[in-house]
Amino acid sequence: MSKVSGVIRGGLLVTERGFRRSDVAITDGIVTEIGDCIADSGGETVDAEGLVVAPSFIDLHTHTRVPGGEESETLESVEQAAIFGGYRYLLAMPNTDPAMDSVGVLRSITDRLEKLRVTVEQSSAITIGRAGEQLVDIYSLAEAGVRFFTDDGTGLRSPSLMREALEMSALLGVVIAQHSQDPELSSGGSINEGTVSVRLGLGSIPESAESVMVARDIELLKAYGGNLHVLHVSARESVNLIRHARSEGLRITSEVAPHHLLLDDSRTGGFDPIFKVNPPLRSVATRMALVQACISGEFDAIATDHAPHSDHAKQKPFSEAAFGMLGLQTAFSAAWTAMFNHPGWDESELEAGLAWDQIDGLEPWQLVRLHRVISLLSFGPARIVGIDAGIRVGTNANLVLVDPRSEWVPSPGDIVSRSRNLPYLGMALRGRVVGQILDGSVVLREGKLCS
Amino acid sequence: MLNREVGAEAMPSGSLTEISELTDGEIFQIFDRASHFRSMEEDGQRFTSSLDSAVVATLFFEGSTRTRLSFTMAGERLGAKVIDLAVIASSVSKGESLKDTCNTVAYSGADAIVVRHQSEGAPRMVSQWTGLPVINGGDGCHEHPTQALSDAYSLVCRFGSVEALANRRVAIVGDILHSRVARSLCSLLPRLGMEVVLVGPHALMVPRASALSAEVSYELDEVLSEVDVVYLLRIQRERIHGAAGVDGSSYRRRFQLDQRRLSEMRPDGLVMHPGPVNHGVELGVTLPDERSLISEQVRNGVLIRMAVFERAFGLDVKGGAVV
Repeated sequence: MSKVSGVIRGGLLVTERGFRRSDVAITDGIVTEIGDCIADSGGETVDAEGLVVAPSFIDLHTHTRVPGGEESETLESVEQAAIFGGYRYLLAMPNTDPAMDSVGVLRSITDRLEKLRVTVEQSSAITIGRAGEQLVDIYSLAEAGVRFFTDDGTGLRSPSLMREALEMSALLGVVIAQHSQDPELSSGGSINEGTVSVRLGLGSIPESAESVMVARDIELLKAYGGNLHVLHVSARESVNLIRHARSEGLRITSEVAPHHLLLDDSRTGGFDPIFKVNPPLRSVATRMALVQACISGEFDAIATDHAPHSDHAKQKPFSEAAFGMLGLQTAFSAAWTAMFNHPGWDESELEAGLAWDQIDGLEPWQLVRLHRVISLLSFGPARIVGIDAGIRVGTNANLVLVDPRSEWVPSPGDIVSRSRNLPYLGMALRGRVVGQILDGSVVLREGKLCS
Repeated sequence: MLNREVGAEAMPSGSLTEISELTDGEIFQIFDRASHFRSMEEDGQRFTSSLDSAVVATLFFEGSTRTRLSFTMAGERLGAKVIDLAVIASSVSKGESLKDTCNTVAYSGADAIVVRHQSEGAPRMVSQWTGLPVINGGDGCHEHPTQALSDAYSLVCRFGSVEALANRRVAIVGDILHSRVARSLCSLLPRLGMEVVLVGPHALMVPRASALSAEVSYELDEVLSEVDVVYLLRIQRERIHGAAGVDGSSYRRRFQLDQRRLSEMRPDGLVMHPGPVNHGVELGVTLPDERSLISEQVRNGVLIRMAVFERAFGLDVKGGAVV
């Protein structure tokens, strides 16, 4: 694709330290100048007044469904969803068919991943076939370039295999990402354990199913070392355990999913399987605690857990329907809506050492929360995957234009995934990604894809 | 409560998939119509064929004798043609999805569907998929609304009026966790002014009974003397998975209604059961007729289901005399 030249004028540039009103000049796809009132140099001019210019987003949790699940998603369709969502990078989950559990399976898709504009990094399973019985050849997979290992979809039940995996992760500098969920405490469950599950009579998954495994893994981490990433945190106790572990200097990171910030288990009261997801949507109280944890900086990343499913996998009675929902296109909007609506603003949020210029229509505290959302979609996950996300002179332009004030209602026509299991249809969302420059080329302009 | 903001097709108004879908007025109307049918029955009158030419399909994905029979009798008494789809022998056993099966039934000309299914919420989905009125004949551990209506109506008949139910206390005893009857009763009886206490071993109790507007006790002996009705449930072995330990002899010792417990109840205390009864497990005594509502529950089941069919087809009927 042709590299872009021009100036983005008047936007609020996001840095790790805050917002600064700046023009950004790009020449042949490279950022050449950041400052006030940059002179035109012949390229195009983009008026970004009222928009935020942010580093492109990085997703730690995407189900690409390739190979084996092409009925629900393809690499091409997931790439489009990523571009609409503002993403430059996706970490692909290994619960494919066959599972990503050997160098051979991995190599079978390497060529196809390399043709994509969005970077898709493939993670490996921790155990063969994700069956939890025998470790994959972590050494050879790491040698072949794999940096993330996870049995996502299920938690690794065996403490001795988890110990071994964590020890290997320390040795090889890779990350073990755990879907923390005890298989017995969650057995037969399809919904959060709470007042809704009791009324509906559905098998349920308590928050403790998650937190007991987080606690165990932290003890293993303490005893044997390693690099642990906790996927899609959905329990209040998990947040406390991870905070404590971090304060003890353990190498632990965590992510939260946008749907756990915006939706709660009252949505499942009508048995609509579109709201069936694992871990399940939690109570209002837990949802609000998770938003507060985002604001307080407890998480390293917001990650989508983008999980496409075909209609015939979803349109079943609740307990038989597949777990999972789409998330790439709406991640920023859903997370920002949740943070924006969260009550109980207090002054301490301002003391984060941030500096900002104003944007019309947003209060200072809203800007602080907007900065948090964008950081959790960019700088935070970038540290985990080792990408320098900042917009800096001399680097390839990788940035998104975000309109934080617009409101929109997703409709089926907005979905570019092959699947339609989007939980936000008909809901008013706040803010939208309107443009993206990916590796120096414009891929999204005024909310429309550029081929 | 049933408000779905997203992606929902509306459910036809005649459907009955859970008690909360009924307004208070509809509950009274159903009782009134049942009383009307009851007096016709007692006078030996023939029922009018008000559902003439309507086709009701019954789809039972779980075994059933009494509920299926009751729906069939109810439909045929009102002149409907009741077609029982033998689900086990149908294309379901060839791997067809529930959605496709139900759409086939709808396209073939059914006007209403009765569904019993092992998955909670299945009747609601069938109603949304087909656009037809669907009556829940029991879905997993969720609800069994026509059973609860029959039970409540049996109490209305015994106590003389709906008003006479106020402040009376019912103990529902047994496998609460897996009981769709208990959930429907908990949704219905408090609306009629009754108090519900759920009784059973911890392993078969719901984790948050407050969500069901009910109190909880783990010992039947603690509540026996203070209740007007003991409603016994069967232990649903077929739904118990995993660790939940329920020892048979311990269960009988603590929860079986035997001669001693029957005599510790109030002298006029009533015993109910949705059937089938496991004699020797939850019930260990032959009940005197005046203390048992069990056969009344069955008889009223047909009358209540007739009234529920009338509602499903939107018949404009005037209530009969209130009992």
